[in-house]
Amino acid sequence: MRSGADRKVVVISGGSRGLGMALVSRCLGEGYVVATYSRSVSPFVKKQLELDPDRKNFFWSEVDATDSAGVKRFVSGVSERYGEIGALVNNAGIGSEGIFASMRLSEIDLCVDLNLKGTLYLTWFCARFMIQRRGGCIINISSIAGIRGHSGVAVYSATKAGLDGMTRSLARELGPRGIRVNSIAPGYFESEMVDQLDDAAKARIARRTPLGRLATVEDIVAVVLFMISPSASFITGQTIVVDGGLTC
Amino acid sequence: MLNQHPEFAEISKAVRDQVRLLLDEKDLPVRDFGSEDRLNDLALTSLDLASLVAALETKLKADPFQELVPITSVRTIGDLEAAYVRFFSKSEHAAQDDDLAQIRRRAEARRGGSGGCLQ
Repeated sequence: MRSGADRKVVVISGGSRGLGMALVSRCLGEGYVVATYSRSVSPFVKKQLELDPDRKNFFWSEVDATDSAGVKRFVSGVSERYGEIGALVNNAGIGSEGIFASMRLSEIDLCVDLNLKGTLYLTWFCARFMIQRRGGCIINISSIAGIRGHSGVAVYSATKAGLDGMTRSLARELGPRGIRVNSIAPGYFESEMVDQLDDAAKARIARRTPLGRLATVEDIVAVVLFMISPSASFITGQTIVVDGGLTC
Repeated sequence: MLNQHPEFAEISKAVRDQVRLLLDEKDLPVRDFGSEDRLNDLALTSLDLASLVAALETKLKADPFQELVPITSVRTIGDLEAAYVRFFSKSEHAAQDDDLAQIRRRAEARRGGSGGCLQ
């Protein structure tokens, strides 16, 4: 458990449910101060707010990630309240599935706006803070869909590959200021997205995976925690694939 | 924080204080510099300029480079100062325009919405 000056503030986008919720929960458990936002409050967020009415360790705002003014207010609120942003985990995102040529254009907009533009906005505001403090760590949650081709997820793949590109370029740009930037690319893991697959499809993925199973949320969270820790202080510009070897 | 529409002297002081702070942080010699001095000659990089702009946004509550001035046009200390002067001068004009619009609206309302307007 961290105390005093060691308490790093971690900003996590989309921390109300799914992987984001698990990240918030584990980071709080590890003694980090966590600031997160989502479009609406969830039972998990409500509980955290009740447990910490003074916002000593947990801060949440209702923010639409595609609204740059809202994201700016959130980051300003965090930096004014806690005086630092040690790490940013760009987790918020949505899936988008369907044959590309028959998708609605509005679906493309929605996925690109949230997964890519929303992430760029939040990173922009946090990076401006981090370069003044000469340090920080940025993690982009991308996907194996950004690395390998998968039919039916062209738009989603484009956004996730975009995040990996941002990771590499920003790592070079911000490295001289002591800011590390990395991607974590999960494979199939137990989540709302994978819940849409039937048991046969899940079994097929497990058979093709050298380690013989789908990932758990905890598999992903553990890597994020490692990457924001001092143990990863010489790693930047990388995409860490957490897929049990599926893409190797 | 400075006045809502700071004078040139206040802007210049804020810019130069921030540049000095940055040079000090980078362990570079903090020497006297003027408007004509180029950021490159002071050994400041484009990343340093980004850091300066972010710090000045906190201090001056202004970022002229979002819409008004291209960041690539900033070569000297004077260019940086001029960008903020331009920003505040524009926002002052905008405030005056808002006042004028308000007077017009009131005048229209007094005339019972007859559709006339002040010229």
